[in-house]
Amino acid sequence: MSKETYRDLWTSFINGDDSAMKLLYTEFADVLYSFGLRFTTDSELVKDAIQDLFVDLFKYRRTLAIEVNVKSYLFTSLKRKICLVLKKEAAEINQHFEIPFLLSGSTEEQIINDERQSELLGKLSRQLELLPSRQKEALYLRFNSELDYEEISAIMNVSLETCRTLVYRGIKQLRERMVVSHIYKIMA
Amino acid sequence: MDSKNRYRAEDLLSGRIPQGEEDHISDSERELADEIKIAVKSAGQEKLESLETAALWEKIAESTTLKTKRFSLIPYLKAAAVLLVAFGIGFWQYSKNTPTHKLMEFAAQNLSRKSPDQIIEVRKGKTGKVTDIYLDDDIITTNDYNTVVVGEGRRSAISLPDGTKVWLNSGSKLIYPIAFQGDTREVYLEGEGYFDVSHDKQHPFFVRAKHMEIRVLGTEFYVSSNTESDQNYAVLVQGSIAFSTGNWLNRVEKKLVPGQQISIDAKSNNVHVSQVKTTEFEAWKAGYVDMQSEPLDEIIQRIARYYHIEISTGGLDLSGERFSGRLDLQRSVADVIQTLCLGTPYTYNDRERRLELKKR
Repeated sequence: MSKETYRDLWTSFINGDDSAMKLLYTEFADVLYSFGLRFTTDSELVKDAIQDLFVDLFKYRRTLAIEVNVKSYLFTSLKRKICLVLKKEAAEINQHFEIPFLLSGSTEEQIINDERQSELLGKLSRQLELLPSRQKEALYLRFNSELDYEEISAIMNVSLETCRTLVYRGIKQLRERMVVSHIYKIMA
Repeated sequence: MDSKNRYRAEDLLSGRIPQGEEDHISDSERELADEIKIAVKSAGQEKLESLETAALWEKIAESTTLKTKRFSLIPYLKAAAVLLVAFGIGFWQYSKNTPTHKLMEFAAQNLSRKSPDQIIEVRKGKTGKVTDIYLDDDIITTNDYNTVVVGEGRRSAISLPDGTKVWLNSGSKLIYPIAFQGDTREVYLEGEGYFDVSHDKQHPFFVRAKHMEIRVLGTEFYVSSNTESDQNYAVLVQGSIAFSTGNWLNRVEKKLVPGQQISIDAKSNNVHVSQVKTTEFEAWKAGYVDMQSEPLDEIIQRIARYYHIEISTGGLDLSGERFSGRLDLQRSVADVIQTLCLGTPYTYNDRERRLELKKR
């Protein structure tokens, strides 16, 4: 589906067509689910947040803006919902909350990946997980969710240039670490 | 710096290479960039089960006014026009009142949380409301649909309203309407079944399962669809079937000829077609296996596979016992193995599913 199609569905939904929202839901359920799991390993929490998000859309249908980027709107809302819960949970046990970004995914998934992935990919994945959260988030949104920089900047609430810089620095660091480990291997 | 290799992976991936200089980057940097993309892509591919997706939507619909709301027809028609242009046939799959939609919704609501044991509990408990649940053998009737649940270590064969015969393996579930209506005949399968579909050109027969969909043109075939494992496949014995998987965005469709098995890897959505011997599947349906001087331990493992359970032989050396002939598998697994063990020093413990030495 293209951006224009999302926009058309969104507009139809605001104008009263419920089936348009069902189509958007079907389209986004999986990507939202996997995006949500970057902030917590609790899949029930993520599912609840997705449910909440769509219930809200119906509830506030009349007040929704027509001129939005549907993708970044859904991602942003989901992230906000999940982080709100996590923040509350952290506050209850008197802990400082910092938004995490987990790239390794569920342990089960990881085991399967480890078996399948080549050595290089395995190394890359481990190095990826060591990057700062913001860089990981930018890389994930760009190359996993395949969003454009405009959408990423809306979700991460930073300027377009900052998004590009986050991606640039993340890749640079990855490359440097990979090269170092490569040289080390040759010398050993 | 060498102007030919001025740029690196980070320039490429953050879109900082000016137009016209796209090839001023070395092959190794380009490869690294690709690998990084793959690594990021593979770090988050979690998907909701299709039943979960449906169940979650059901919850959303319940907590909104979606179910009771009346909406004006005009915006609806406008939207419909837009959608039809945009997706063609895809739209109809999601419109509410198709038989497919009803069937899938019913399956999502009734199969997602109950395990076979729990459903059978309902049957045996007899405390539930009997008014709207009609119980006949393992068939549960609710809201226009029959649900057949086959318990562990058992098999079942049923006839559908159109004369189609289905043999179901242990632990499988089949949902079908009390009466087929409309232009198609559709059933939902979880587990393993052998279908002998009655011929009716006007009403194509569909088997829907979690990761696949099979359109039948009057034929015999075997389907294995397991929610837990990723073992999803279909084997065509006679006639022809069209196999499809994926949603309407990334649909894969294949036609099979007899003797072909099509397997799908649910994770990667890859399908694979191979040639298989259909005799094993036909024997499965007929309920027997032929043995020629086969050792007991191999026979036990065949039976275990057949009933889809695990049987322990507890380190006993069974290779001395050999059997020839036809083994009838129509009855329960305990009956079959007990019969087999009659002339041997062994006995079958059904509770622990293992073979033991007879007590003297």
